Amino acid sequence: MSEERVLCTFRVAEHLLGLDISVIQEVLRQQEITRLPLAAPAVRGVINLRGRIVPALDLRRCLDLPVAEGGRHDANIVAREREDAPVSLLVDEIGDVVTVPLELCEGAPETMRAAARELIRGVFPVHDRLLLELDLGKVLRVAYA
Amino acid sequence: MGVMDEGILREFLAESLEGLGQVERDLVALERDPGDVAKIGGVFRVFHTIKGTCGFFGFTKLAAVTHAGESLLSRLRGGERALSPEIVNALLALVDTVRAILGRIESSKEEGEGNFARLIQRLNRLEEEGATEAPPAATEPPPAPTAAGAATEPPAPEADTAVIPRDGGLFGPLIASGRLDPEAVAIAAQQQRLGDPRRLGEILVDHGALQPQDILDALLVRSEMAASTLAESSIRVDVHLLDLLMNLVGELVLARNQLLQNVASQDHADLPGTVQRLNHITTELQERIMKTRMQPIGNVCNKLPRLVRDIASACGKQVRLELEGVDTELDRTIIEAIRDPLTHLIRNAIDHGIETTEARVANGKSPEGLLVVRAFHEGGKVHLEVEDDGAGLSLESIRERALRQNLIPADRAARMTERDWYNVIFLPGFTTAARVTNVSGRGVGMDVVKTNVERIGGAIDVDSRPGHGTTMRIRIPLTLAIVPALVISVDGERYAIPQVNLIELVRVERAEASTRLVTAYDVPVLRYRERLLPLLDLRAILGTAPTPARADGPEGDAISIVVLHADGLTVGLVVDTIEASQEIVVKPLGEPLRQIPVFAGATILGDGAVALILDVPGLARHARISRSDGEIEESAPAENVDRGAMDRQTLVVCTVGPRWTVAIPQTQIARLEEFRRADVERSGDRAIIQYRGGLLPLVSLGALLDLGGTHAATDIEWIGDADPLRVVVHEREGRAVGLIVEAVVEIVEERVAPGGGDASTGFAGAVVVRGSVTELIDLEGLLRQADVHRHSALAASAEGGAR
Repeated sequence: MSEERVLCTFRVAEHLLGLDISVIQEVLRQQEITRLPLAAPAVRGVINLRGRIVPALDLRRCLDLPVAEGGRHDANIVAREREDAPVSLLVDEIGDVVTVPLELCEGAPETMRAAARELIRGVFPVHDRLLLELDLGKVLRVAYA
Repeated sequence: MGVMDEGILREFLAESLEGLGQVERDLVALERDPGDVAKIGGVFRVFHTIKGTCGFFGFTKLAAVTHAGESLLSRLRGGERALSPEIVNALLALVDTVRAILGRIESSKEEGEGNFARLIQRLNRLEEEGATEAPPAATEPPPAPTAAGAATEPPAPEADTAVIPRDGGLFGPLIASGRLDPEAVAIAAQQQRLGDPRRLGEILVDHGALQPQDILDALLVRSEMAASTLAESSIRVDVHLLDLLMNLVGELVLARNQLLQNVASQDHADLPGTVQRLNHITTELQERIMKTRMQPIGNVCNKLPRLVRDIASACGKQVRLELEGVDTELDRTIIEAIRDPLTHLIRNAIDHGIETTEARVANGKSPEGLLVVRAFHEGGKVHLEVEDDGAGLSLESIRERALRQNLIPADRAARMTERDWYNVIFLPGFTTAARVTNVSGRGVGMDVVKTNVERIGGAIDVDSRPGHGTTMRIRIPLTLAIVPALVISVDGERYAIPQVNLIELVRVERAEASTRLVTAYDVPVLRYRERLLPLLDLRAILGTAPTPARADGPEGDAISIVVLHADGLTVGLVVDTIEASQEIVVKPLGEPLRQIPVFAGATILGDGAVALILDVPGLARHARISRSDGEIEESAPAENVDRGAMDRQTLVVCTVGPRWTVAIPQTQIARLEEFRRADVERSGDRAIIQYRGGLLPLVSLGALLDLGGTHAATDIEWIGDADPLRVVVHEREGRAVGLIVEAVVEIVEERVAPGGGDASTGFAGAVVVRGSVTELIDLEGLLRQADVHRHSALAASAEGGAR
């Protein structure tokens, strides 16, 4: 039996992205974001997660994609690299949880921008599309840079 | 180790550390008053208990050292052996060693590899020797130290116990670990007594008995011990208090159920009552929870006697420590935060402040320096003072060094007052120490102390009288978790400003904007109380719309300016709207966001939205307003200052409920009265009282404000059960009404900026009373709106008839 990876998928612009299920804390509908002036451009602001102040990161910015029209996002994925530091990632649409065999893993497509390719941990063909798995640690470092 | 054993071990460690703290204080006290048998008994019992428990856990080394101490103490207790400085030193070394072993047990559950034979030997020797010596009186020369067996020691030159040099407790662990021979210490001590001005450590290094690195290590170990975590990670809470909290939580659940029920049944008639109850429960719960976190400042001060003793002997000085107000309570987070600054101040006071014994005697002072650490509550803050009776700060030397180090531009220096000069010591990079000593002067200066104090919302300043001493004053808030703040907004975004930074609110009408807002040195400034105040435009700083503040700045009929003080600098912050003054719960921004200098954290407002908390010093730094810009205030007095905008008014400050303070202009108050609860009569559902031959309707001011002034506020149910009732009597056109307040706090004279409020709601605006924003009540508007006067028509006619 080959090794598998379970990913929580979501859509940002035209990309199908995924994060390892183990780093996902919860998925929320659109939250009210308080703008955080003077922060890095990818930091859209902070949200109130049951009394906790959690930064909201714009994945489009991180991936060097055009900013969404109207600045609207449909969902927040609350993920955490460390137990005590959750972040909210703003995505366009929540997808399914999929299981992918590791042996199908490929490198990031050449067509992606270099900045974005850095953040990809692996690429898996799912149905007729490519699912890009993000490396949360790298995404956070880019976002706060 | 089983779970149960683990629990017992933690308890043992916590209790032992607590006991050792007490032992340390008692030993230092015993050194002054060796005759206190009760204290010796207490010290004995602590070691006895530790030794006894060691058997249970099988800590044989710890048992052995504490046993040696215990037997020495039993001799002392029986009066067979007199307490000498030598013994105190050995016992303090024992305390350090035991503490070090406990620390090791805490981290690794093992006692470690250390060999304590030398310490045990030292304790045993002290126990056997000199059993015949009489206990010395405090004024007599102490018995000669005998550790080295040196019989030829001359008596100390001064007939005072404190002249005998001590090892500062520093060498105890070194001796205990076998790195230092106790005899070498005794020889060095003797050499010091014979007139060698150097410190023990220097002499020892010179003799080759000790490597300089060892001393540094020992210093490190000692500071780590001071930061021992175990004792601080748990606090004691009164069971009674805990029961009260549980009870309140029960009430909270009931109130929530009631609220859910109200909402579910669409029955909103009970809603105000339920909300009121919820309000009271929450307030009380908050206060009680705060109370559990309040700890006496003694928890820090308890460690000071030993610290002072050690530093003093390391500096070769005589210092007496006096502690005042050790039961002053403050939040434990603050206690933690002030530990380092306080230690630093004390270190400085002894090392640099208090003179050497010879210098003191030469100046006609007592040979012993006095260090007073004082804590007290005043104005809702905790004040901490460290006062020494040393030489005081030298104005000349500060001035000379500051100019040489280019800390202050020469043109500015010419205008500085004496007090300004003293506060120069808080500038980064400043040091007055002529030489770097072991104790202080290593470049970690007063600026760090200042930064640390300001980080917790405190302030520090210094006062000094040449030849008479120096006083450092720290003012810190009671808690960090919940702070009073002012909520303001720009472009619809709300921000909170801590009230510690707030001086006042200024409203500049559009009509006078052109005369009061000017540009000086390319910085927009406000003519403000005969000075020019540099202005920061919050909108520009936060990037909502990048336009600088100018006379033709924001739209609207008036400009709201929040006058803030931070880092010795006063600035005006231009905002759109001043929303409300409220207590906020400070929440940290996550680690990566903490680097943004202008925010101190975030809070969640009543509607669930997040508001960022502005960090005023960071804001000023970000906007590159430095102290030198602040100079404009001093150097360019404004002409034609608009005094009319800031009228002084006499205000009566009252509380109307827990944590709610309001101010009422004295002109609106006819009299302040107290009535007995029993004298209140009922008229329908209203409360009235016979007063000056008439009837006075009574209204609860709190209810009136709370409910936005509905007629129900006149209801007798709101009167509450206070006895006596404190009443503010308001009269207009022969009609009187009594407003019940909780207490009249004080009567102050404050500057009141006109406008800023909405007369129709009864709020005339906000005023700063003793540094915190207080709502200014317009009784006339409030009563008109509540239509209380109509209800008081009956009373008015009755009163009129009586005249």
